[in-house]
Amino acid sequence: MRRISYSFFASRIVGVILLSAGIAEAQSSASTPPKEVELDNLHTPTSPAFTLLGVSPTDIARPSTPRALATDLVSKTNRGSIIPNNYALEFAPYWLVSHPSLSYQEYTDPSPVQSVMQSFSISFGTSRPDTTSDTASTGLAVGIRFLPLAGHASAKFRDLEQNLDSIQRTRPDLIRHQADLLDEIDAAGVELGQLRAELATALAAHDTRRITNLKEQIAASGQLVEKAKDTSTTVEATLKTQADLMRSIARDMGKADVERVGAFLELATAVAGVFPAGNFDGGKLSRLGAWGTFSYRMESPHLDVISLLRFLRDLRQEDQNALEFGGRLLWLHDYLGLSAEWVSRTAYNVDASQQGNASKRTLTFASSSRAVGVIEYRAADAIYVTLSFGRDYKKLGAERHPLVAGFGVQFLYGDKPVVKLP
Amino acid sequence: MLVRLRESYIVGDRTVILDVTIGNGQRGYIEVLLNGTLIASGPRISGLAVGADAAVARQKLRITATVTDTNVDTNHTSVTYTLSGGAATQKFQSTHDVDSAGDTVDYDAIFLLL
Repeated sequence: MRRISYSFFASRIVGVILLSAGIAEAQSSASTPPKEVELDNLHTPTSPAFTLLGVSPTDIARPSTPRALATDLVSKTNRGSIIPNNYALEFAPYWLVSHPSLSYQEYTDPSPVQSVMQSFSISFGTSRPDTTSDTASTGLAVGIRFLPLAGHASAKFRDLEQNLDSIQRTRPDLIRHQADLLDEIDAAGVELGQLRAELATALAAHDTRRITNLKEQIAASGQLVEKAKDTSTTVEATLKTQADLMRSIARDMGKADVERVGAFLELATAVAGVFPAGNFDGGKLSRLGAWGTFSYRMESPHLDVISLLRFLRDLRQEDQNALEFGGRLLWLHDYLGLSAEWVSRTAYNVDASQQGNASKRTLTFASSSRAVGVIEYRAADAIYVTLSFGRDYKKLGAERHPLVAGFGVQFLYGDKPVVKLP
Repeated sequence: MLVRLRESYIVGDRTVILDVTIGNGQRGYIEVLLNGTLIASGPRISGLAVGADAAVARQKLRITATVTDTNVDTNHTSVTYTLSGGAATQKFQSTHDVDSAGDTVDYDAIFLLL
């Protein structure tokens, strides 16, 4: 499944000591304020089912063939009779089978239809926090994600592609030589079989002259086979050396493909339900979510424009109902990064009331927004200086937005991007 | 890994046309030889006129391809050869799944034109 990198400055390494100072205006709240949300929370998730469930599974089943998918589902659900505990599954239907007519051009530069087919993925997850009780409820979610627009390859990818091409063009002569040697060995093997059969006949007939003649032919043929095998081994070694180099380039191409440029449109949706006692019967819908991200990335200058939209409907916690959208403009040059972002959150609630014989439904909204500009500078290999200025979400009942003014220094340590828990 | 294909193809009065496709979105390079002489090369061969009737009868059409697994979404590799213009249109396919991402599979097909 094609993934897009949204990494910005200083986002790769954890283990951060953050020193910061901020100024915020004190607020009084008349009623429950809308939950605050960061712009990064609005990104279209790679696995929307897991996001809606609120889980980050470490063990995700990713079957690559239809049989593996069927086997996994049948075994985990006991042939569809139970909901598995804490199960995570993700797969792309398109890539479960081979596509012999899919060209390299169609894969690296797909049309919108091709991009949707190739990127379409399904995520399925279950979550059962209380595993001690047999009657505890199980959360279950299903989600889909696809990219109608997937950008195009970067200059770095094209350079690697040319490197790979230059090595591939030197191979055909060696391949033909190797193939001819293998054909020769196969033919000699057949001939040797025939000669040995004739030798057996000659031995049975005590034909001394014929026996001697056949033995000489078998010895000569055997020597030719050994010589061909030795040459084949030498050619094979050369082909393997080239293949090792090509493997390295191909893997670098895979990494470079994540940093594509151009226009991207990423869409996802998911639905979650709650099932009592781990059975499919009695399940109820609990949450709905939809995400959309449109972005444009330029290679030179390095400029990213991102707009995001998220809709959440929670049937159990009304203060989680919200429509959020935001945008970010990011410019990177050497060690300096300038960004400006704006996020708006509109929480809504549906109240049902009875007035006489008529029922009335009231839709209430509460909106707030946040706008911040950030300057980030990499002062040294592991030191980042950050300045932020803007306005934060306005609290309910307040007249003005709180000021955001911050200065931070990040000290990064550790070689690994993830610190594993003991 | 080298995948060999050895087949024959019956030609007719019309020009034999060759199409070669490297599938599964993988990157590859193809060379086409007729009786040992290079007649075409590139990442894809489309609509190549090989020859007709006596001009190509009893000659060897050889297609050599090298395919590297550059597609992060699959380990399938395949080369499809389509010959048309002869007695019948025939499609031949060679496939191989690589063990590790980035591996290379070589394909060599020889068609004896009859």
